[in-house]
Amino acid sequence: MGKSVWPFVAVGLGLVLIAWGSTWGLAYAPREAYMGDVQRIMYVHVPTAWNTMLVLTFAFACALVSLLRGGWAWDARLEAAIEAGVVLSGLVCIQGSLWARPTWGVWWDWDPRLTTTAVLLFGFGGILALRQFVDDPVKRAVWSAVAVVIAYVDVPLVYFSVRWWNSLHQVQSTPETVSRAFHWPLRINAFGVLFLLAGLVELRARLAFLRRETELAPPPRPATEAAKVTK
Amino acid sequence: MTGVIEGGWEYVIAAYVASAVILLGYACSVFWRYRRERSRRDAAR
Repeated sequence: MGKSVWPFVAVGLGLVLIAWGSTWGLAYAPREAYMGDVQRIMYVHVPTAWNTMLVLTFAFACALVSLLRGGWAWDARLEAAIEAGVVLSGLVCIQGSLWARPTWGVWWDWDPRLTTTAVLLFGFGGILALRQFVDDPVKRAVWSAVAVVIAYVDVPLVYFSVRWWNSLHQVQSTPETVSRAFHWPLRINAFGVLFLLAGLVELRARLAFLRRETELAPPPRPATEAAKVTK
Repeated sequence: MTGVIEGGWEYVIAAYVASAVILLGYACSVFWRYRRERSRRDAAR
């Protein structure tokens, strides 16, 4: 896999954008008419949710390519995307709970959007655990790719759950339903999380690839056998 | 009751702090593991 510095640049740029968007959202964006200051959680919650779906879609694509074409690089990217997806799914649940408490009066509710998101977290977390338990790298690559293809069914369910079922969670906002005053901090943070994620997934994939190289390297020759060969 | 939520800054701050801690923590974890694996590979060569 590559050795270029672009992932470090992407991570740095992502952090700068998130700092900028968050400062704008916390200090300069106006209060929302009904939710007041609590709505400011949107500037971190929504970009995290968008990027969670994006990185899990990338994991799905890596799983398909890994199954159809093979190659350790795609398995490494798959591992990286699953791990980042699990971290972001966990974060989106925490942010959502912190928004739910002052607006709904509860930390958690088993409504369709929250339940399908929890399934996402535990489903992909389970696949990550599965990879730790399988010693054979070939079986690990195939089994986890198949599991990702199956688990990915939950991603469209998360997205459409608010439309298909009676949910406490609001339906997706569009530029027409959100005031223009809220657009910029939301977009800046969305691109910030995207750049951060892109850099981290690439670095994590390089790490997984290095581990695979070590795993697949032939074992060192025993000293006696090495001596025989040199004679 | 007006239906408008008053206050709530503690939840906002908690959400931003949780986001910063988790995202920065994950970034540091990836950097650290990547550096360690590269050093291990370079030492083995």
